[in-house]
Amino acid sequence: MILNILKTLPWFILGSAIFAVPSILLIGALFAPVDVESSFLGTEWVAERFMNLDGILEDGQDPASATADFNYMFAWLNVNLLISTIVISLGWAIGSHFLNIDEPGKAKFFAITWIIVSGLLVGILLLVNYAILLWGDTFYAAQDITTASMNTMVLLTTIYYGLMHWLSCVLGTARQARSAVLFANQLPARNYL
Amino acid sequence: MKNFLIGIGGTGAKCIEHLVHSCSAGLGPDQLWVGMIDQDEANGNVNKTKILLNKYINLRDSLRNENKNDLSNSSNLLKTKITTNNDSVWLPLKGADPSLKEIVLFDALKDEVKGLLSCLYDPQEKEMNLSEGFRGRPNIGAAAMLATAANEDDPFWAQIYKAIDAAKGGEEVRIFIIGSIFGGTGASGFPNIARKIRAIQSEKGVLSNVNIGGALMLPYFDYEVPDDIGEGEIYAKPNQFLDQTKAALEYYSKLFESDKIFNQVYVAGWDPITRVSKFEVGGNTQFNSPLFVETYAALGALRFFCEDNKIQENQEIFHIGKNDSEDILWSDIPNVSVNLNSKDSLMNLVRFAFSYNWMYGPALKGSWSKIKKYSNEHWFKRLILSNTYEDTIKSSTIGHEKNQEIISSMHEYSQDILTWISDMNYSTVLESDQKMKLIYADFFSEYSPKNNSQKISLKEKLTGSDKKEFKNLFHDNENITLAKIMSNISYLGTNKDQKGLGVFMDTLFRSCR
Repeated sequence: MILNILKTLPWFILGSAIFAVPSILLIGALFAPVDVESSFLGTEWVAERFMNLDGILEDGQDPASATADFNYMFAWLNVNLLISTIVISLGWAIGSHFLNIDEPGKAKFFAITWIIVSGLLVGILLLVNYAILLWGDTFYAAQDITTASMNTMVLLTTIYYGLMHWLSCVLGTARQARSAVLFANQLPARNYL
Repeated sequence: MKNFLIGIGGTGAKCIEHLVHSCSAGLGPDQLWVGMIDQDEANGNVNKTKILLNKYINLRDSLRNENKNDLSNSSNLLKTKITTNNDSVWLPLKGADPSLKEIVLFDALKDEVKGLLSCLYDPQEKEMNLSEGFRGRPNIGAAAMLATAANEDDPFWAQIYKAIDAAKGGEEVRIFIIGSIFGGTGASGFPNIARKIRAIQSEKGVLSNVNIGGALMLPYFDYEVPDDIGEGEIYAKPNQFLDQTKAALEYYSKLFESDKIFNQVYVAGWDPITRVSKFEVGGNTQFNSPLFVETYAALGALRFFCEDNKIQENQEIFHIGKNDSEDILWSDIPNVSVNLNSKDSLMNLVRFAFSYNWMYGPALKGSWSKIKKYSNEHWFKRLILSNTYEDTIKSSTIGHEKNQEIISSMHEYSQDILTWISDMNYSTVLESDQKMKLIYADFFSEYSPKNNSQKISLKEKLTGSDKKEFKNLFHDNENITLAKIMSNISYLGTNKDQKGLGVFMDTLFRSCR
């Protein structure tokens, strides 16, 4: 069993990496000092797209400082979302080896299990998003974002990390359990895959 | 090396059944010719073994076809290439209802010879119809066998002659004979057939390369003789088994001292003796269940044929029995050699038979329209679809007649394996205090000791809880789950030289290890 898990893990890592690497790069960039002149994640660009600029100015805040706060918050949001996704997806990838698939045709019955796990992940992603962006007081920048931009962030991050979960499950699910994961049984079946 | 196995009488045939299953588990040599000797042509056990041999040979041929469905040489499943004659049974006395009197041309003999024969055989024995065997009378069997010449034109003896010729050409030939010491056919045939082979050897001037081994079965079963049996009826009497055995052992002791007929002899016995459920004088109703001790004879034969077994100059005699306790355990099964673990191989085979019979075989049976529902599953795509796909029809040929024949044959053979091990499991300890601790068969089979023709009925379908019981199949720590087999079949690599259904069969077999 351990050997089979080890054979599948590289594929799980590959599936995760396609989304996790850009996410980590983004997190790294967000933690970096704000580059005022940068057109990507630059002060103006972030402030215009995500923040209530008028409110910031009314509060007498410096937009550059507010943007830095936002970047810091968004970085931590992504860290939390990434960890949540990896934990749930890896849990499924490893757990799928222990499902009681004991005869041909039985794997598809575990689609319900996968849907429940995936639903749980989406719930966690939403929870993390709202905990940071709406309910929590850990990040001051949460007060400076508009409702529309918050909804956009919630939607985009949920889709992004949801896709990451799906792709890592497609590639990282135990071979015998592939029928449980949406489209995973469309993968070619080889000795190495 | 050429290997020949001769099973004499009902016991010989029963031991061959164990041997065939052991060969399908990968414990046998690469090649083996099998023949049986029994005067009781219709004997139920002989017929059963004949059918089993044909099933094995046909199935192996279909799955060891280099062009179509090939398991490859590295696979242990159905490893041994068993061959046999068109009729695998040799009848020492041909003709309808032969009697000893007719065979020795009693009426044409001189009076003094007649008198001598009358001293050795009572009138009933001389007149006895031998078409149902020698009925526990080795004195009759010995005379009958010695009266028949080893004719090179006879398909059975032609094989022995060929073997001796091969030995003359420098090839090593190993011949193994299995028979009981306490019956009629086996007891009379065991030394006489070996002697005949040695006689052919010296006739052909072959001084070396021919090694003869044998398994002598000491009394290991008896039966209750019904009260209604006719007073004059001749049959093997269980109360005489021990006396007969004692006399026979004394004879063999002298024989082995004076004449080196056998290179290796394996002697197996059982205590307490197993009581078989039904008594029959002979014929197709004489159909006794497989018993554990017969495995010893089969494994002895396989040990003899094993290339690791170096035949010594001196005659060797091995004996075996189980441990002293009342429990019959896996540890009572000896290994064929250092490299061939009998326990692991037999467990592997039983797991394979189980999972094929109830899990994978049914999924592969029928037309493509029925089977294709599995076509998205990894094991199916990798092991079946990619190896049975035909470009011309843009579809898998798994539903085609030829492949379906193989799938059905394997299904039937799997049932034979499960029936064999279950029957042995129950019948060995019937009416005894012993406990069989090999497999737990209750959840997949039913045992009816009174039903002589079908003592074991395998369940048609297993329930969810039955399937869960698979993890307790063996009275041993080495159990696995069906889910583990599914996992293994999805991950184990395939060999490049395998083809068609051979890829799936071998991978499933290895997955059950």
